[in-house]
Amino acid sequence: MSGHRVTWVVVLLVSAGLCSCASHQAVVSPPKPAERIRLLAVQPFDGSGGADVTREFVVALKAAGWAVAGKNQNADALLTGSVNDYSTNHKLMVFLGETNTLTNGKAATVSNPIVTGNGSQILPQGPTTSVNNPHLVSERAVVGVSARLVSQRTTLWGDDFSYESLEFASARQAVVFALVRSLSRALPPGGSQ
Amino acid sequence: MGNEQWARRVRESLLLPIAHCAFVIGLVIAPVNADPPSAGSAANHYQAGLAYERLGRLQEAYTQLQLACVLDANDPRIALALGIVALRLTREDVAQRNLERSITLDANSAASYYLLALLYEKHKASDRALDSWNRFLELNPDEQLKLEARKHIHFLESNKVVPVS
Repeated sequence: MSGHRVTWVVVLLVSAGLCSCASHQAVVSPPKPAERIRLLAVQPFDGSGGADVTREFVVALKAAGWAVAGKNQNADALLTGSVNDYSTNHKLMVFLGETNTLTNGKAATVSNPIVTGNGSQILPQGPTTSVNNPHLVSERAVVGVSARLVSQRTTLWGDDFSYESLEFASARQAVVFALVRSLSRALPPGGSQ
Repeated sequence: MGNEQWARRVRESLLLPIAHCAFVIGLVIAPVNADPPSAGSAANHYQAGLAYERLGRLQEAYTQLQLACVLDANDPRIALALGIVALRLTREDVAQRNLERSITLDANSAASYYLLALLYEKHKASDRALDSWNRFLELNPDEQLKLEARKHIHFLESNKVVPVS
């Protein structure tokens, strides 16, 4: 008799537990579209250098564990974007020698300061060691990219990044790597974990 | 007859000493590309190098700055200038050597740290690049370039090695 009672208590407890699980499941929001994303298509990026950036994305996405759709495959989402900056001749000015500078009203003497070509807050006042104010131009490459992942007209992720380097390849590689890392953090490759 | 004699006397008495003086002064002040080399000629090559760089004649600038560097190996400005021109000519070994030398000669050379940081990054020497960016942050007052340096530091610290495609 008491054995029956214990059995009933166990049955009631188990069913109550199941009910509570079922009600908890009902509260969970439906799976996000991102959780179904396994295969990405990469659309050619707009702007100068777009083809190079697109190729770099395909390589970096595969390296990060994403599956990239071929030409005739239906992808779960589309990676698209534009190249905002792709230039090798971003100029910087290097003043040679001890140079008196004025930055935001503060005067300072800096040895061989380097300043951006336009919009610099530094105003060189002329080196203390020479009346000729000698300077040289230095150049660097800059690549800037905006990217977004779109599925069924919904933007699932978006980010932009720019990077400076001595030449295109390094800058492009760094930008694409940073964006793929950002994407993979927001939406882990292969869907829900 | 009297006039000719007078003219000869004037020439002998005034013009010749003046001509001598002019010649001697000319020897002293004129720019001379002569041997043997001296610190003065290093400065001349340095100035010529900067002038060629301004004209966009980088190969000539490079040659002049190399000569300046040979004649005066202890001037950090010459080493930096040669490093910059070598970098623009993609002679990265020469650039790195001279930029590092400019820092050895002047530990506060802000531009040298900036350019070395980019060079080290290109060669995947992340630790050295980080050191250079941090030193650059301490020295250079340009806020725009400081932001750039912080971005590079963050990128390098979060990812020491960029995968090669």
